[in-house]
Amino acid sequence: MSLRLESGLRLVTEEAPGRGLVAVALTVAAGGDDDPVGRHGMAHLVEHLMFPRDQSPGFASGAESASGSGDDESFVALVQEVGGMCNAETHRDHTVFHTVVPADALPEVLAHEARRLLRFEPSPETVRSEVAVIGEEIRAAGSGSRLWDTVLTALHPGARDAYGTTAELRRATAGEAETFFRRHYRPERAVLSVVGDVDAGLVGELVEREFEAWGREACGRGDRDSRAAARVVGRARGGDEPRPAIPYGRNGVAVGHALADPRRGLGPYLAQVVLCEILRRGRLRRLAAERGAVDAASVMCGYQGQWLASAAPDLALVLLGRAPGVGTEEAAALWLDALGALAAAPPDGPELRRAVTVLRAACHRQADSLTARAVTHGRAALLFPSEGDGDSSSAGKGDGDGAGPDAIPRRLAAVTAADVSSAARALLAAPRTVHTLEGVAP
Amino acid sequence: MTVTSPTRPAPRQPAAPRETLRTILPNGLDTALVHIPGAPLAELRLVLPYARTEPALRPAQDLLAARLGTATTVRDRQAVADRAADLGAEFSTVVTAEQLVLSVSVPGEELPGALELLADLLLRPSYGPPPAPRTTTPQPPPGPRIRLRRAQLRHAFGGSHPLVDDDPGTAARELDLLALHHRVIVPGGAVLLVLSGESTERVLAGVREELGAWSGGPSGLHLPPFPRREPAPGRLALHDPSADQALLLTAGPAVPAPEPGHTALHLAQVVLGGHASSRLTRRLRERHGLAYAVDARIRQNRAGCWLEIDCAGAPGTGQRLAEEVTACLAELAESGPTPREAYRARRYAAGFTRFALATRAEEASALAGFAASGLDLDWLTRYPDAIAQVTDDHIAEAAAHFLAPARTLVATLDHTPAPEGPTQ
Repeated sequence: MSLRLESGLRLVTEEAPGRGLVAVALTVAAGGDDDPVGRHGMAHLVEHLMFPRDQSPGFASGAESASGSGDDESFVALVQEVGGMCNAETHRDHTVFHTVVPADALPEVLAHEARRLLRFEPSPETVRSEVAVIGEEIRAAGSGSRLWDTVLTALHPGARDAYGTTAELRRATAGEAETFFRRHYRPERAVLSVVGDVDAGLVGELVEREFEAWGREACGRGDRDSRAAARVVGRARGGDEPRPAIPYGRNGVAVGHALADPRRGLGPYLAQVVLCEILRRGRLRRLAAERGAVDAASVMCGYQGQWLASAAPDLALVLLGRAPGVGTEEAAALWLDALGALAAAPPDGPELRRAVTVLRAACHRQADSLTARAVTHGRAALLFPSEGDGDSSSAGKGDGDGAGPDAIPRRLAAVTAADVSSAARALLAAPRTVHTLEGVAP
Repeated sequence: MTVTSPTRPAPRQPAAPRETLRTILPNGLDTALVHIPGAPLAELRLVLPYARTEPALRPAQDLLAARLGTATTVRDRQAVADRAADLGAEFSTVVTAEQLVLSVSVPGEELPGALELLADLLLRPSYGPPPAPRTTTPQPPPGPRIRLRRAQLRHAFGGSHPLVDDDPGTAARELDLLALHHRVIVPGGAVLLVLSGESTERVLAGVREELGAWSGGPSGLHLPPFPRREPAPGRLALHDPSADQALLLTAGPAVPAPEPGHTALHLAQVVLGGHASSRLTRRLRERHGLAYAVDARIRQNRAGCWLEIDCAGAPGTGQRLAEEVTACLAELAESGPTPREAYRARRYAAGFTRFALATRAEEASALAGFAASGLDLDWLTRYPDAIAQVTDDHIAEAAAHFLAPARTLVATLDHTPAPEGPTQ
């Protein structure tokens, strides 16, 4: 069931009885692409600040726990007290906060969820400590993440990861964080999704009550962020011109291809997902086994292999291991040949069926988690509204379309061999970038 | 929409009880089947006894676990992978101190195909040519954590035992994986759990058809009980000048599930170190900054059952960790939990039990574990009722009896010698 509150907040509820649990996801249209100039990572910082320490002077609930009892009334403490889990992810085009608790704790979780939105007021001390935590996160992300970011930036100029830059974040202030929050964390830019052992009607009433104040107090305080328009500039180079070599674990080649924009229709995007699976599962392995020039080959579709985790411009990343004496162009040509073969001739039935079956089973495994379902519902409603709210079982839908947790497997099953061939042609025609990977001693 | 009165959405009524069927096939395979209407995936778990009871077998056991399920006499490695992909199935193997668990996850409509492939892997395995006999390359010495673990259990429970022996099994004899497979990958003593949207009768018919010809066992690879049932208390300090952190493990008496008294002890353990606001966390992490994480848990297997506290701190803090942990145990044993602590522990324990069953995959693993350890399949779903029956006084009594420092072994490993007590 889905509804929109007067404030503009959208609520998606799915009744999934039987496990005694409920998952809540708050998905906000604020991500790394909204970072102000000179403050790369501000969206990530605000995500961290949404989990305030209870003792933080800037968080009102701190007063409630000052009894000396040792009690911690923060959101995290509430969730942990009932044996639940909560976390958050910042992407380039959205941030999602997800929580899963026993179903009888839902009223408290929703009350706390609303309270941390209404009382966002971080202290300078909290900002400093969370910047330090994020610095560690960036450091731990490692070389794999840096390679992805390098290829992404080459392919989509202006695009940057959502982690942030430590040096820029060190200059961030509590006031800047609050300004970002007021501008982007608004009910009309958010979706609340609730999945689990609940009654959808009662959830709606409860959300109305807890969230009705959100947005009222901030009306007029936000203004339009003009930075995004200034940030996205130019277009990726469309050729295979050599770029500076990237230090890596071994000699190789990284090829990035711009993926189809999923907001312009999920069909072509999902066909490219299937295409990558066909290549990854069989053809690249054969390429490595039969052609001496390339001794390893893999392809990841979407950010770190998480396709449809975001609607921001994304890529398919191909990694090839170069045999001794083999040049970048020679290795990349083998990959392009493999892609070209599928562009010229569709995959046969068994090859297509195998790839689709594996992808569908993976979707079902992911959708088995209530949290993953809540997050997928939130993304579907926020990032792909033109696809509907997801599932044929949901109110207001009936055409089986959508980007919801049960719709994606059905849409994957509908991908044809001709679609895959067309996806290969589109990938060849799309902007791409080729990078030499130069082996360095660990 | 206007809300006119406070409304608390009560949880929906629990779903109807699941249909379960449990039977032992003529070949000895303990088979548990669970029907979940509408489940898109089928989850299979095959649990086999796999304790390292014979040192000479250990290298072969490790290699067999790594290669089990990769090839058969009629399917090579690629054909197995292709068949699994055709089914959309994922096969994986996990080895613990006492079991080998083979897991399969497959779309429900492909369950018959997955059973056929599983049977092929179990009945007609192929491991290729035997690997070359291992040279007598010396095994690297165990790391600090394993050293402390073995010393803890040796001191607490005594004697020679697979969980405490240092012999890594350096036998240089040829590793005949096929012979080992036929000896230990057998239905006798094993448990097969299938959780699916298919009726239990149909699944059972499929299991009988595919696995009925599987034979052998039991392998006898069960962990033997420790020489002592109750841990010997005391203070054990290992000195390792190269240790880059101080480690602490304790072993106190405990009651295994589902024996009477387990639930009260479980709640006392949660108060002590079972969640983020526990006594140990507040004392060691928040008050003294001695450890990033500290927890207490009841450990239970065929060898024995003990209450264990586990934490790590900066080098040189081992003695301080031991003192603070001992003080924390003494306080809770003497005074019991506050009503607020008992309330929180009950709530946390009741909630946490639900998360063991949060996904079908987790549920299948949990149920297979229960079945293999002799617990009823619905043990965990009934556990919140058991928690509700435990009073604050019961928790205090359990704390007084089981958490008393005089009954607990406190073992540490650090780069500085402890000022007193037995050392190794």
